[in-house]
Amino acid sequence: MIAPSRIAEFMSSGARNLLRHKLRSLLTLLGVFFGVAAVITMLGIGEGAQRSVLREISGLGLRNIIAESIQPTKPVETSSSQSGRRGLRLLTFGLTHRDVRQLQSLLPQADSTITHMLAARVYLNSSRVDARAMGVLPDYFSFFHAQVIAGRGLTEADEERANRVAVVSENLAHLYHPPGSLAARPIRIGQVFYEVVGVVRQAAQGGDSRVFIPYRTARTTYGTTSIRREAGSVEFTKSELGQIILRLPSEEDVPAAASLVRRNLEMNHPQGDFRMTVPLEILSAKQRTQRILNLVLIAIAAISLVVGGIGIMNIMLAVVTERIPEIGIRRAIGATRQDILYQFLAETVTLSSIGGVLGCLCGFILVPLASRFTGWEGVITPGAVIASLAVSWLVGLVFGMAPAIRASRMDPVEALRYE
Amino acid sequence: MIRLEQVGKTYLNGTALTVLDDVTLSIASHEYVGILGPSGSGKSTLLHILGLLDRPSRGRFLYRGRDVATMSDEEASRTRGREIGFIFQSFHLIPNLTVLENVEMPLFYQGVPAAERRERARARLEQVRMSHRLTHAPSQLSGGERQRTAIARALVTQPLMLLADEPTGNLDSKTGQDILGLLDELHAEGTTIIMITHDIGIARRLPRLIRINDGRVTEEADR
Repeated sequence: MIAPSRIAEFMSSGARNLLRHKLRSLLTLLGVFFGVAAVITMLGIGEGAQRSVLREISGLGLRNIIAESIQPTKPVETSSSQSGRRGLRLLTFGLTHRDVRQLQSLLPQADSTITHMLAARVYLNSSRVDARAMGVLPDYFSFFHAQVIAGRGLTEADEERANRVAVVSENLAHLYHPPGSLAARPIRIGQVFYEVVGVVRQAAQGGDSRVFIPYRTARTTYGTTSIRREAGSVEFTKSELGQIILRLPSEEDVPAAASLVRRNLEMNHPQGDFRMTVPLEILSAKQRTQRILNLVLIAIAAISLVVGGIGIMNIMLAVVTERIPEIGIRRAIGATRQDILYQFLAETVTLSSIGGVLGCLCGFILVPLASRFTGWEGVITPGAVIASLAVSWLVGLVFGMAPAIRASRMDPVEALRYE
Repeated sequence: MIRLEQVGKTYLNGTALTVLDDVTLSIASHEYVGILGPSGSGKSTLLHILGLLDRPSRGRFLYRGRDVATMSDEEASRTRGREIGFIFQSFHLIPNLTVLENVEMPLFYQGVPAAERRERARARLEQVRMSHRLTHAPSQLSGGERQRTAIARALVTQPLMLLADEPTGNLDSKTGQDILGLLDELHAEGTTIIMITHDIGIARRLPRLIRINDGRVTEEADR
């Protein structure tokens, strides 16, 4: 093996040779430079995307299984209370308390909570607010890692007494400036006013604005029937429950539990009037897509690295030819074949490593720039830096090998005679 | 020190070309030998074989008692670096390196540490009166200065034997005399020198002369 001090000497003499042909060296390392810059940028953006997907979905609670009532997609015999008037009908659909009881007995280890979705519109100071109102139990917020960021959350007492209080999601908080004015500006849902007692931050809900009121308040005030007036017809819909949310003790339990819940609900709701959301499944699906995307990006970066490597190899082959007399001289004064091999390899590796370092630095500029223009998050991990530097080094080693071997195999006598 | 027994060299480049044939000779330590012959006579090939740069196709070559055929390429290279110094007609300095770096180079391949390399190279350059040109590039030197640098490079490893291939061939006669004087001094100090020349005038000055013609040693003259 070769001593580190020797490697350093080979590298420094290689570097000096490269400095003698600055423009040529610069052009030669451009390929590796772009390759590494691409690799690190791709890794950075890929990593950032990964993290934002993870954060977004884990806000939904990775241990949760969410089932919600939806208007059935399959035709259903409308209830008998269809009135004689044309266009007036009552549609009953969705999840019921019976479902809750069944699921609780199927999954005794899971916590559960229910919500009541309100069709009534939300107003503040008689102007419409684009927000969805729902009745929730006090433990609802803990299912979604929601944080109370101002005022308070909903309590057992609110629930018990069916208080007319509301908690709004963070993206409605801007309506309350200064924050102290929460109570001063009650919110109206349908025809009923509520005192706003708090603001919650809920990572998952993204842009959706929500107004939460106690479950019992929602049930007693609005009932389970809602009326929707549409062009010339009035539609009454009735659904017992908005959502059933189950929380498993650990993520490992989720896939099995999800299929159990799905089977049970499909059996009880053949008309398909429910929708299941399993955050963990969404996460793994998104991660799968992300991985494929990452692979494609890496493949593109790899191609540019190979092109860069071929560029280096091409130039180094020319350099070897140019330096044939020098090879002869070095052999005559005692250089072994291995010495010649190391000399040229050191030069190529130095070249590609410089390209790698510059490419890395470029990545540190490109990643924040890319995330600024695309809105994606960009994260450069130490692993990505190490990987891209290692790759640049490897490119030098692999593509420098052929020229270096050619140089080392040269017959010293012929090399000395070469003009 | 050196013994050649019926050594031949044939190049196989399409057609077989015999450049050396049936050469038998011995050279002892501290000798100063001239090899005289016209161009194309095979004297350069002989010098390359003596310097372990090339190998005979036939016959036996004993270098300090060792059969060269049994040496690996690496051994031959290391031996060459340690024990043999080359001086070429066209100097063969590395153009990218300064005078000092050129002279240091053989020591680099022996693994000598940088500080000691510099020290020894300086000393040799002083010996050949080149101390005033240490950081110059070869292209900035005159022919005589280049050859003196090449001699310093050949000497820096304190070799047992100097092989000179027409060392004065590219120099004017006065500079040539200067270089020959330097070689005479080195021989006086105990270095074995083998010098190729086609100049009978130069050859005559040497204590021993080997004539070579068409790949054969035609005459060995001791004086």
